[in-house]
Amino acid sequence: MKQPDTIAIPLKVQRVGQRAGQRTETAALSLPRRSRILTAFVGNFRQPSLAIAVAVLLLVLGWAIKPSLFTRFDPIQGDAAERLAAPSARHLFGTDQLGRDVLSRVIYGAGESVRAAVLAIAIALVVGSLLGLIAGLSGSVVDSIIMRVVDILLSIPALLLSIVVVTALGFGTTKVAIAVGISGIGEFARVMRSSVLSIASRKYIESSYGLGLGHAHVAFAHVLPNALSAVLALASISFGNVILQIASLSFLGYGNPLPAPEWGSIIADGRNYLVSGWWLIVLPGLVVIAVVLSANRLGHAWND
Amino acid sequence: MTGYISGALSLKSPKAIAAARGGTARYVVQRLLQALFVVWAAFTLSFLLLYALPGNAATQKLQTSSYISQAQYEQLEHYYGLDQPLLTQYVKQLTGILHGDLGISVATGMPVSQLIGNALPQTLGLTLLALLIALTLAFVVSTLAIVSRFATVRRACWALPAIGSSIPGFWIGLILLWLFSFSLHIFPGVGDGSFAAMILPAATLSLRTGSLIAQVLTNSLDKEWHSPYMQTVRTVGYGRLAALFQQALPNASISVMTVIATHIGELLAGTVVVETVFSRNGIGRITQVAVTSQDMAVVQGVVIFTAAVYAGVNLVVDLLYPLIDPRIRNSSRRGRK
Repeated sequence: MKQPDTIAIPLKVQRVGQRAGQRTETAALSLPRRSRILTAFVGNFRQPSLAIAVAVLLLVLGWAIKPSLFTRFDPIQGDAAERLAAPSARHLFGTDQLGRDVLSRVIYGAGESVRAAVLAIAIALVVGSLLGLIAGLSGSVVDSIIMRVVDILLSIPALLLSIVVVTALGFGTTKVAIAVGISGIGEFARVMRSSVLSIASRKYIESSYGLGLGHAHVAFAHVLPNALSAVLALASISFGNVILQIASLSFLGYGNPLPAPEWGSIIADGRNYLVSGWWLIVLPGLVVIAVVLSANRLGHAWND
Repeated sequence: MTGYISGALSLKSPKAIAAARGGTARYVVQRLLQALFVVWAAFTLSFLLLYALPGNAATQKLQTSSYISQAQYEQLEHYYGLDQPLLTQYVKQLTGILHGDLGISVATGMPVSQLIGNALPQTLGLTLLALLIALTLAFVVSTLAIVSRFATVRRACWALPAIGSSIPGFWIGLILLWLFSFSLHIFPGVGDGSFAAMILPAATLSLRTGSLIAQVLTNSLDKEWHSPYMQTVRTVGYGRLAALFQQALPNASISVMTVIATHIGELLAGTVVVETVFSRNGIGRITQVAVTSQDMAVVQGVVIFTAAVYAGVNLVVDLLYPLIDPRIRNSSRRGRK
C-alpha cells in the first residue's frame, strides 16, 4: 500500500556487461559534446547486445513506416492454394489458414503496434507530467489530493484499468492505446512530482519568483525543462512493457477486428491451429519478445 | 507501466514511528481505514470511467439493436437504473455494496456477487499455486545468481528475470499448452478441476511475478552479500549457501514481501489472460466475458474485488512488518519510551 509517510529507498537494477560500457562513457564525458555522441555511438559496438537491440528496433521502425518495402505478400488477401504451409524459403514464417503469409502480417502489424505504443506513452507522459508538475508546485492540500488520486491509479492493476476503459469506450486499437495510456498516468505523475519537488527547492527557482515571475512562467520555463529528464527516462524504459500490454489486450480481442493484422490478434487467431500450425503462434511471439527485449535494453542504456 | 518497483524497500519515517507510539491498536485502525479508503476510491474511479465517460457503450448497443423497440429499450434502461442521474446511480451502487449487493450482470441475469463467488475458488487456487511457483523459481534463480561458483551461471541468472518479464503471458501459455498438452500429453488440455490441470496455467501466471520477485530478490541479496557484515559471517565459518540462507535472506525478505503485496493486483489481473488461454473458469474468464458483452456491473464488481484483495494483502503485510523487522519493532518501542 502506498503510504505517504514512509521513505522509499530505490533499488538500482544492475545489468550484466554494464561495466565495460560504463568505463567508456565516463572517460568520454570530458570531451566536447559532438565527440561525446560519436564516442557513445561507437561504444555501442563494444556491447553487442545493445547493437542488436538498436538493429532490431530500426528494423521494426522500418516495418512500421513502409511495410511494402519488406514484403511482397498481401497481409489481407491470401492464396487458398497455400493454406497452412510450414515455414519455407518462400514463406519465412509459413502461411495461415487462409493462405496469408504470416511474416507479412507481422510486418504490417508492426505499424499498428508502434503507433498504439507511441500514443499510449504520449498520453501517460503528458497527463502524468502535468499532474506531477501541479502537485509538486502546489501547496500541501492540492498536492495531497492529487497524490491520493495517483495512489488509487497505481493500486488498480494496469491490465484491469485498461479493461475498464475498454469496456467503457469500446474496441479498437486506438481505444486500447488510450486505455493503456490512462493506466500509465500514475507512474509518470509520481516521477514528475518527485523530480519537481527536488528542483523547486533550489535557489534559482526562488530567485525567479523573487524577480516577480508568475507561477505559470516559472513552472513551464524553469522547472519543467529540468524535471523532464526523469520522465523521459521513464518513458524510454516503459516502451517494452507498453508493447506487451497492447499485445495482450489485442490478444484478448479488444483491438481492431480481424482481418486487420495486429501482433496479439494474429497469435489469438493461430490458437485454433495450435496442433497443425505451430508457426502461427511461435514465430510472431518470438518477434514480440525480440522487440520488447530490445526496447527494454535500449531504454535502460539511454537511462544511464 | 514499467513493471518495476520504484521504491521497494521502505523504512518507517519518524512520522510513522510517532503514529505507532500511540499503540498498536491505533496503528491497526489507521491502516484499516486506509484499506477501506483504497477500496472506496477504486470503486469511485471505475464508476467514473464506466458510467461517466461519453458514449455509454452498453446502452448504445441496445439502442441500435433492431429487434428491441424504443419502449422496450427505455424499460430496460429503467430496470437497470441507467436512466437516473449519475449521482443517484453512484449513491445507489455505494449503498448496495455496503450490503454486499454488487448489482446484476446484464449478460447472464445473475447477481454479480454470486457470479464472483462461484468463480472465486478456482482463481484463488490458481493464484496461490502461481505465487508458490513464482517464489520457488525466483528463489532458485536469485540464489544461483549470487552463490554459484561459475561466472557464466551467475551472469545467465542475472539476465534471466529481465528476459522473463519480456515474454508475453498469452504466448508462453500457448507454447506450454502445445508442448506439454497436445504434443507430449503430460498435462490435460482443458481445465477439468484436477490439480494436474492447474499446473500449466499456474506456471504461466507465475512468469511475470516470478521475474519481478527474482529481480528484487537478486538485488537485495547482492546488496547483503557485499555488505561489510558478510565478511565477518564468512570468516566465522559459514559456507556460501549457509551464509546466504541464514544471514542474508531474512534481511532481503522484507523487500520480497513488499513486492508481492504491491503486485498482488497484477497477479489477479493476469488470470484474465491465463484463464482465457487455458479455458478455465474463474474471475479472469468472467472479466473477459463481461468485457466482450460490455457488462459494466461485472467489470465494476471485479475491480472492487481486486481492490479489496489488494488492500487486504497490503494491510496484512503492513501489520507483519514490525514482527519481522526488528529495526521497525525496536524503533517504535524506543519511541514509546
